Order: sequence, then structure tokens, then C-alpha cells
Amino acid sequence: MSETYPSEPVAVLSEAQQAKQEQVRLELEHRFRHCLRSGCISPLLHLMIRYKMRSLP
Amino acid sequence: MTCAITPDQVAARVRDLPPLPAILIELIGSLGGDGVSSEAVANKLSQDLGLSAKTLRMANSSFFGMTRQIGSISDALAVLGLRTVRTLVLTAGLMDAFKQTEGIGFDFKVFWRHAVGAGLCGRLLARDLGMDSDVGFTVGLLHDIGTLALACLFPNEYERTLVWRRQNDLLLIDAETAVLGTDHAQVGAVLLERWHFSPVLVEAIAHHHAPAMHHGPGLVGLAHLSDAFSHALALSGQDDEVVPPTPTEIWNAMAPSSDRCMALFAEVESEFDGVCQALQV
Repeated sequence: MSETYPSEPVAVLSEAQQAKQEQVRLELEHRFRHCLRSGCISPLLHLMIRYKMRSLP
Repeated sequence: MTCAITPDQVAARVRDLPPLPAILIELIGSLGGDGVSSEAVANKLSQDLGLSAKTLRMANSSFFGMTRQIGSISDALAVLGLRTVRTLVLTAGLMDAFKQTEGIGFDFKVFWRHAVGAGLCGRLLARDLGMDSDVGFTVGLLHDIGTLALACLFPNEYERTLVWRRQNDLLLIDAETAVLGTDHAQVGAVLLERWHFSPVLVEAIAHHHAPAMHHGPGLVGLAHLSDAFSHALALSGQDDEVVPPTPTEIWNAMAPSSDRCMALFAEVESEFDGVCQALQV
């Protein structure tokens, strides 16, 4: 017997929000790669990643 | 790849720059204290219409949230106070020290947006650390002024530096050292000495990429953190900005708590556009 569950509400992002999200993702990815390559680990970068992820739509 | 620039060449070109207006020299000398009167500032500024207009535009920006128009420098002094007006005049005046030059491969807008971001970070960090917030703003705003000097005084050499940086995904200072044999921190210090900034401010600019605890948890560390916070927030608009590493001892001694950092990021982001709009960057 199968049960049906209400689906999770999925936030629909506008094109501008999606573009912003993609831009932030690319920025963070670039910094993270730079960090790994250069060996320059920064607690600030860690905080910034948390901040940016939190403020994404 | 190297095209070394000697300290003598830097000194000679900096010496050839036109002098700053007298009012700016006087305000620079008074930075961090109260050694200048409101009347003197109002009188001297009245003789420089361009600088007055720019100062008023900033005073009327959304950053200050005034409910009425500030119409004159005297008005600004009465409403905002001498210390704030001094910071505004210095900002307006120093931003004019290097005119935007077309075709030198250097993005003035990116430069000033990063500088303004660092100024705002410097102001808030200084406030948290119990330091002078006007000095914090100024040290943030000017920490990379040597970059602008290098780009304007040695445009061809600097263009090669920027290409090298991008190709190798380096910190700007590492690309400068590799290509030019000097860097913007050293050149900025020479420039600030020429402009009669105090030795502590000159030292802050000179060492902002290599702050150490022997400098104490003071302006050197503040200049460094302002720069790092502004890069971390990616305020310049440059797509490959990277965050310079902060020495652990400086981070432990001077950085705010995690929660406070989050609040500071949000505060800087909310102020940033208004200030850039007022400064037209």
C-alpha cells in the first residue's frame, strides 16, 4: 500500500536570483581553489562562505 | 618577465606629482586628533569649489540618512561634526589625486570600490577595537593607494603585472614583487610620506600585507583586516578576487567574534552602495 506525502515546497527563484546564486557560487569556488592551491587558509574565508551561503535566496 | 622598478624611480615619480591642496595637508596633519577648527575648515574649503561640492554630495548621500538637504560646508560641520566632515573632505580630495586615465589597462572603478569597502570595514573594525573610526576609515580607504600610484606612474609595467597576476591566479602583491621587484605597499608608504601622513599611518600602509605582532594590535593589523574583509566580501566587482591570508596571531588578537563578523559583513554590505553612489564609483 503506497502512501502519498505532500511534496516539499520548492522555492522558485527568479532569473536574477539564479544569476546571483551562480555568481556567488563561482566566486566562492574560485577562492576556495585559490586557497587550496596557495595553502593560504583563512578563518575569514570560512566565515565568509557561511555568510554568503546564509544570505543566498 | 621582470621589469624592475627601483626605489629611486618610484621616489622621483612620486616627487613629480602635483602637491595636494593646502586644506588636505592641514587635515592630514590633524587626523586622529582635533587640531583644526571648524571655522578654518569652512574658510579654506570655500576657496575650493570642486572639493566643497564633492564633500556636500557625500554629506547628502543616503549613507548619512539626512532628512533635510545639507546646503553648505558650515551646515555640514554643524550637522555632521568636524571629524566626519574632515573624513569626507579627505576622501573627496584624495580620490582626485590620481585622475582616471583611459587605456592603461587598470580599472579605476574596481580599485575605488575595493578601497571604499575597506574604508567601511576599517571604520567598523576600529569602532569594535576601541580605535578612532575616522582613522580606521582612512587607513582602509588608502591601504592600496600604492596600486593606483604604480598604475598611473608606470602604466606599461603595471599592465604586465596585471596580466601576470591573472594568468597565474596570484595575490596582487605577489605578482608585483615578481614582475616589478617592488609592491604597492612600499609605494603607498612613499606616497603617504610625501603627503605628510603620520608615521603610524605610513607604517600601516607599508606593512598591511605582512602584519606581525611586533607591530602590536594596532593600525597595521587594522589596515590588513580592512583589506582582507573587503576582499572577502568581493565588493570590488572583480570576478577573481582572492582573500589575502591573515596571520593567526593577528586574527586571534584583533578579529571580532564569528557572530560579530556576520553582523559586520551585513552592515558593510548595507552601507556600501550608498557610499559608492555618493563617490560616483
